[in-house]
Amino acid sequence: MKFSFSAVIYWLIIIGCTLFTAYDVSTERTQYNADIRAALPATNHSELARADHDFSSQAVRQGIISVKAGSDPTLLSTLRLYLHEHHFSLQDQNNGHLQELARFYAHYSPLILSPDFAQAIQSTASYGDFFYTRLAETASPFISASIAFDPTLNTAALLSYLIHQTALFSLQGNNLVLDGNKGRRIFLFFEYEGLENQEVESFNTLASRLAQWRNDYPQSDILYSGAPFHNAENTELAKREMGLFSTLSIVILVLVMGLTFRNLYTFLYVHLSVLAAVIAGFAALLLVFPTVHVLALVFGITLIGIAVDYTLHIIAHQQPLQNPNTREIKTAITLGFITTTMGYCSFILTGVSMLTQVAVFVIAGLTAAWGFAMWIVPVTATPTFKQSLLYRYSQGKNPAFLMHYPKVILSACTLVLVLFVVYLQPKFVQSPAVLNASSSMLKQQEATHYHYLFANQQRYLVHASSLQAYLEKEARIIKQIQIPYPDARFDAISQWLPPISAQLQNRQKWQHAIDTGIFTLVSEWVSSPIPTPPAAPLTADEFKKMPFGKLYESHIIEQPDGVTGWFAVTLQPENGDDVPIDSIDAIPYDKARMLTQSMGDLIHHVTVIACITLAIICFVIFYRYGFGSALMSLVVLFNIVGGALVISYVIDSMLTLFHLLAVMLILALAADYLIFYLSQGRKPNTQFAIILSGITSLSVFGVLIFSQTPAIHQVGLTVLTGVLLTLILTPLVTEEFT
Amino acid sequence: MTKAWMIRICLCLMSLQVYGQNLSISAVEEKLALSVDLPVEGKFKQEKHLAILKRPFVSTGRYRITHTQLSWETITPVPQTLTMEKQQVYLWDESAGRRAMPQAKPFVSLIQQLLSGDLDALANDFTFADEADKPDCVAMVPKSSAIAAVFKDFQLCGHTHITSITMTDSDSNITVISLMSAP
Repeated sequence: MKFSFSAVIYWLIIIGCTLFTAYDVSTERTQYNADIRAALPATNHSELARADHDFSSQAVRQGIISVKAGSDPTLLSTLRLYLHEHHFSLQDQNNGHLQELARFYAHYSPLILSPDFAQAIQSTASYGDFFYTRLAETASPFISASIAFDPTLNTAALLSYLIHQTALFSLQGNNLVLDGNKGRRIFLFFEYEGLENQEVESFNTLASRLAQWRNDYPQSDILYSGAPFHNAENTELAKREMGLFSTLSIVILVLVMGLTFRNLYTFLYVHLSVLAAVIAGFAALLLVFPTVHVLALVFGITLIGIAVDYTLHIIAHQQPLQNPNTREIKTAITLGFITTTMGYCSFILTGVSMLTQVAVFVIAGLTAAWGFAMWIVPVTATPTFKQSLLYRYSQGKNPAFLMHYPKVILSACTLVLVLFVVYLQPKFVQSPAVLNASSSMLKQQEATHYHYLFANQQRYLVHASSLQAYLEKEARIIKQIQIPYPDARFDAISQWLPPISAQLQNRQKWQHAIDTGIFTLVSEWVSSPIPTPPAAPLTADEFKKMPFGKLYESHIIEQPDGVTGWFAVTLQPENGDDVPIDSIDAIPYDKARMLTQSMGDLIHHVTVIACITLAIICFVIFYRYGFGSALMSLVVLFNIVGGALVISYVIDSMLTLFHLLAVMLILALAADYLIFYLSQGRKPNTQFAIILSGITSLSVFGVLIFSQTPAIHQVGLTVLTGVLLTLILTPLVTEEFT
Repeated sequence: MTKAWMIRICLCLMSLQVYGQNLSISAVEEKLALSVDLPVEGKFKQEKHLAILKRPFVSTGRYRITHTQLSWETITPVPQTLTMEKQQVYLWDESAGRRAMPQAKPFVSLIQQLLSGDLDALANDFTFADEADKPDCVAMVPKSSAIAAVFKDFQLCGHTHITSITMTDSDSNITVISLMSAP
């Protein structure tokens, strides 16, 4: 066997890809995950979106377990011990720094006033009431902790106010307890701190143990939630499905090819082309991305169905001597490769990281498959498939009604499709929740915990040019909300770190109180001196050094163009959870709502891309084959895409972004088939190659409909129906029919 | 001044006493012979002996506890009322009216458990210990490090009903609450 120079280069590249893949897999250089959010669109590329990304990443590692308050103490100690022994670090509410906090704020007492203290120092009488009321408080840890540093009791009032604003839990023993719709529950928050590549397995094992403890302690009503549990469940499912589906696809491929060709060489060429494509795709993925999404690999299985097409077309036209049509066939293959690649390129434009990975995987794989067909598969060989059932079918005569009424049939199909669309009025679901492959049990537990932790709470994002501008803005918005909702609680950094302008105003009030003798009462009771104003106001740098300094990092993101942060408002239950803010400065920070909106935008974006792709395909056909063929192709493509979506809607009872993304694949495949039919006509060899590649595509996409991951199932279903319609409708554009 | 220091020194010495053996709930029940039939009401007198104060700070008021509600009403020196209904705590005073006060919940829950003699609930957060030479008293040491960071211990005294609660904070400041049940 003699290899051309191009073939040698080709093999060297494939061997290089193989070695690199083996090295990467054996050294575990690349990480794998199945976080469903990678399958969701990124929010707008604004400073707020970047801040959202940073804030979300803080919560993504946290797991939550809750049990009924009053549960068997053995369970809690067992849970704590297990978490400790398996590299999970527990996050407990830390109240041990109260003394330190009191000392810190007492220093700034003349600059940072609690709301009721600021009100009280307007007159001697009101301050007297304040002082006695505070001092009479029973068992106030704030008085005990701060009175020695600040006898005016401003610091005690301030700490009481700040803790009230942010504290969500009460303490029972060392346990964080919260009341909610399922009664009082004890919460444990934790993060995994072991090896990164063992996180998924650790969370899966933890989930199994929790299920076991649920049986052992049925009264405790153990619940767990958090992104790592979803990630672990999704990864396991995706890995299982990837193994199952790729095996099934390969088995079907081997059977179909074996039965069709009954020739070892041909059989080997077909499977080598698939192997080369998979290796090239996988190597490109590992080379480009530090973390590979397992769902991208599951989607990548579709490559098997497409990669085989180009080799099949060459093999289907093999002749013992040189085939005069070889050049034309290779041109058609190249044209088909370009259109399919363009279809997958559109995935990169979506901004969805998982789809970008799919695009890289498939495009690299298709390039390898195209190269294999161009340089490796011999154009001269004795065809062995001519005895196959499929080839004999391809030689059969076209049905009479197709011969005579293709336009009538297409018109009727179009009419039926339009009627279905008008009757069903399918709409795209924009909620990302429908894409979550986690078990319903985990989703339910997540919802219960969400209700406990975030009921009646609304978060807002604020952006400003500088930190001081941010603090001013946030403080102003909070004041606006406090007018209609005086009992509202605020988890906001400006409460702990007031803007410097507010601190300077407070210093004036404090000085006025000193000048008018309002604090005389203090010296009657307390021997320690009244604090003097500090030389400099409280700044972010000083704040970060205090025990609660991490509050700053959790609330504020410093960006090149300013500062973005969030604050949360919690209303009393009777006030609901929707705070109407009359300010353009505060943007509601509702992750689900933001994702829904992004999903809506992306659906619109993909629809436009699909229309542009459709227009490009029709333009190419018009340029090459004339107006009539372009018009027929347009009607055929419209029926294929519309029919696939309508059938998917009827079966799934909804349409999502992933049904629409499947349309891009259908367009890519259908364009391939249309170009081959238009260039080669309905010749037996062409028809044979197309039907055979159709069968491989159907078998590959067909297995995906059994996926429990909604996104994969949806793509599988739409592509399956689309390919079926493609096989039926694309022959109608051939010269024989038109 | 001297008197205040004397009291402080005595109270500090009281707080430094060595606790006896740990007591079970049933032993505490037996020792205090608690027999609380709700509703219960009475008067209280609270004395704060803080190291920083020139003299003890005294406040007085009345309390009332039912199966569903607790009311802790300070009358002097400034009137204010803490109430707990359905796990929600509210504070009322003349200047600000009624408002939610969830940060006072730990204290109000504790008072409710103490006044109603709910030893089972107290046992979640405290360990009981014998008080040497005080047959009608038991010591309560916080289990939680968070509570222990603020309060070193509590002392509970009474027979059939609680008559005094003594709290010692981490700076050895002492608060004594004397309870007088209404006849």
